[in-house]
Amino acid sequence: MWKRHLWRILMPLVITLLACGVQTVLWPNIFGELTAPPLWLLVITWLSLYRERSSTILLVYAAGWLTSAFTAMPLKMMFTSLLILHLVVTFTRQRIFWSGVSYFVLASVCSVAAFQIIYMALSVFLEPVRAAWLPLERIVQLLLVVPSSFVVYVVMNRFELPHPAEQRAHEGGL
Amino acid sequence: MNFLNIDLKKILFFLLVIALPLLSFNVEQKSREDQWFNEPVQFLAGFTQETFDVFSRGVKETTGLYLNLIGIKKESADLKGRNSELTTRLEAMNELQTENDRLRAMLDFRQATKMELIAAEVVGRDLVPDHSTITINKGTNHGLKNGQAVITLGGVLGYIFKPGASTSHVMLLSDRYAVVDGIVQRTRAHGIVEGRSAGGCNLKYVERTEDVKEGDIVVTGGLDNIFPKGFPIATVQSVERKTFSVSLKVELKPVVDPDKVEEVFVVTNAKNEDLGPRLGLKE
Repeated sequence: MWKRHLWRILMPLVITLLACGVQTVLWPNIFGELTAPPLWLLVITWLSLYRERSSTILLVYAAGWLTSAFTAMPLKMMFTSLLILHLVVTFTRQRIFWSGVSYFVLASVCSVAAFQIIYMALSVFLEPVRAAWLPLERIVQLLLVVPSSFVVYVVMNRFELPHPAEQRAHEGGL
Repeated sequence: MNFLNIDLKKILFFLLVIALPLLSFNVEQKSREDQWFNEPVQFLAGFTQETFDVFSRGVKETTGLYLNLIGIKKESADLKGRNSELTTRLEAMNELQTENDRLRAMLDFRQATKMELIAAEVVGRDLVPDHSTITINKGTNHGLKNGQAVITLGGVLGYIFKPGASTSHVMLLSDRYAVVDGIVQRTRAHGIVEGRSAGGCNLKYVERTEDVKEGDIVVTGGLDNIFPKGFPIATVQSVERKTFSVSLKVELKPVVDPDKVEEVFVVTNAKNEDLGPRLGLKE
């Protein structure tokens, strides 16, 4: 049983680490200046959607802490944005949910858009110079979420060991 | 004993959830060197980025090889083989020549300066589009420290931020958190260069009475011996004189495009070098 618990903690963190590596090194090497899809955020969205236990927020914090090593984003912005995003995703999931990849793709697009809004709003209050609009980068990111969320869904479900209480969320496959 | 029927586990969990973001606010007050708890993730991040760097170079080489092979096949049908191979070789030679020229220019610069420099390669970019940082393949193991200047042959790129053991983040001039002292080269008007995202920056705290024009070059002031004095930072894009403001609003465009940078120099000791006269800039 403890092995399952350890796997459920380590697996998302390792995938977050790999996602950050792909996004910051592999993507710019291959696609140059084209904005990379926010793979790290898709992993966190997956956790918020399919890990129904309330302790998931601690895992989200841990993933955020790991992610902060790949960016200049301050830890206060990372934790506060992720806390709000997790609450929004959890709240939405309790009201609208269906199994399968189509739900995850839709939820990912909404989640990334929500994160950008939350981040920009928090930036006004918490940062000395607020975040810029960067409309082109944000739209490209949202467009790239569609194919990349499919990949994240397949990878996460491939390695997930669901808790018996969460079985319902994982039914339906692709 | 639990008269009020309170679930202590739930309360402790709730406090933990709230405490982490609050602690992170407190942590922001401390200097980067004091943040010992970030070292493990810095190490992991450095390791991951180095691994992906090696992997992505392999992918690039393989992809390049594959594309070259397609090119050779098409051309060999037209030119009977040999000619296309030579063309491909020539392209590879040109690429090597370009790289050689670039590295030679860096070597000449290094030999001609009294500054202590460490050469590094760019291996990664920032995770989010809201911040402008790059990752280089040198870290504290190579003698890098927080705040050291990072330059290219063309001008200032930024400074070291979050140095890890084997990799370091470089805060680019265009990041919202970046601050560098600068001087308008033509009139010696002093100001502070601050990033403003979207690839640009501003020159702040320049007095209204100062003479600043579009096209002027802003160079480093050389304060604190971090950057060499007189090294180009940015060019003035626009100047606005607001009626009720004591300072000018000056928008700048950095002279170095970070998306095109492959190799950089980290200045470990500027030795009070003044590059103004050598670069032909007015003093």
